[in-house]
Amino acid sequence: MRKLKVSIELEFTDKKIANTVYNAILPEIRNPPSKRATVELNLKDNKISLNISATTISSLRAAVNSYLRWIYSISETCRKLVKENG
Amino acid sequence: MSSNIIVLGIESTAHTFGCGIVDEKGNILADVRGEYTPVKGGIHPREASQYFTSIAHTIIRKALSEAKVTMKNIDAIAVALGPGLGPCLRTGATIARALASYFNKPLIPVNHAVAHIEIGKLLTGAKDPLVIYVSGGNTLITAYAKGRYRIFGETLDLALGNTLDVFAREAGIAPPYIIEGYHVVDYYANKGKNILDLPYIVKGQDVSFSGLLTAALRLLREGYPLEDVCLSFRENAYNMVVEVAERGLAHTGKKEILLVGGVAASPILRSKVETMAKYYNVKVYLTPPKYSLDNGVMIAWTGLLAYKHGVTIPIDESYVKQRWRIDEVDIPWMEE
Repeated sequence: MRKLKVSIELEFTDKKIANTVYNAILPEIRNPPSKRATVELNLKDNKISLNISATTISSLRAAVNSYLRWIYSISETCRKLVKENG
Repeated sequence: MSSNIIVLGIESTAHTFGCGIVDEKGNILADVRGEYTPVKGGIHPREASQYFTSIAHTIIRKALSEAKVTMKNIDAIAVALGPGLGPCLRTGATIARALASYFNKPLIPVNHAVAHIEIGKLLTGAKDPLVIYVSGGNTLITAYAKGRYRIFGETLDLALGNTLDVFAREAGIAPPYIIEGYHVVDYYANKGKNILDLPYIVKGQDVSFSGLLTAALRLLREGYPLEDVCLSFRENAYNMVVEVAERGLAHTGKKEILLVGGVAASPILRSKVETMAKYYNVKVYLTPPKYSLDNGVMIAWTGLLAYKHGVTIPIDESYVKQRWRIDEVDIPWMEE
């Protein structure tokens, strides 16, 4: 069976946000919504790497979209709250 | 713990991303919501969750602003971890975990169904009611006994709200689902004159709506007037719920009934429950319509009750539970 893979590396300006993203999405990787895609998550300093693999392009795309949207939402929330709340 | 605990709650189990902030005295400091409305059809979970990711930061910031607090004033983060739609739950959970992690706050797991009950109790003053919980995703009769809310009746298939919505969509009368304060099925039913023969399915203490839905749609296809089909459909659906609630009341001996969930906003259902309650000399409490719907306040308030009794969850163990039943949740804040 063929396996499609995507590797994404994200560098954050704030190490604390990288750490927050890691903590927030790790449970989703341990308890995945489906078995159609598998995800590896790594944190090193201010960098998050995601290795996503799936057997169909639609499953791969769905997983990539989900994780990137969560990461966007988390980083926007933290960044704006810190800016406004100090 | 601080002298006046303040909890921020996040709701995202279905169509609403809500952020509520409450304090220990039961004051609602903020209630901000964003609702995903599909262009057509029912909720598409992935589209709803995508909408949530786009509005989450705005909703949370608005809530903090409305409450006139900063994250420093927040003692804990509560989140609805279930039951609900997977993609929607996961989005709320990731945001709540992020807040807990970044701002170093305790995370509190909240069961969405318990939250509907607790906000109803807070706002109505009900103490130990038999609860009729009717919404788009849930239909159950529950009451507190020995540490948990126990189930004294539930749907075997569709939830009442979902049944009404699917019928309305298939009949071509929704969206919108609400007209002049009535669900569109109630709206047309109020104009009906004749009761048609439809299935009435109560099995023991449980109800089943799928056969009723299929049969009602068949009557429409056969050319029966929409108003009469709505009336017959609505009467059977609501009466089934009231019947199992009556059985629950007789079984538990509770002296209060509390109506919660989105369908509790139906004046027709409320009227039927009040008629039944009068017969048993039981007081009926109606959750205000604004808080019958999904909201972050109910999550914050239930989270606060749980937090005061030491309930928190490590972030790395805060998994969502799509089918988290209400009778799986310990309720340490209720007294026997």
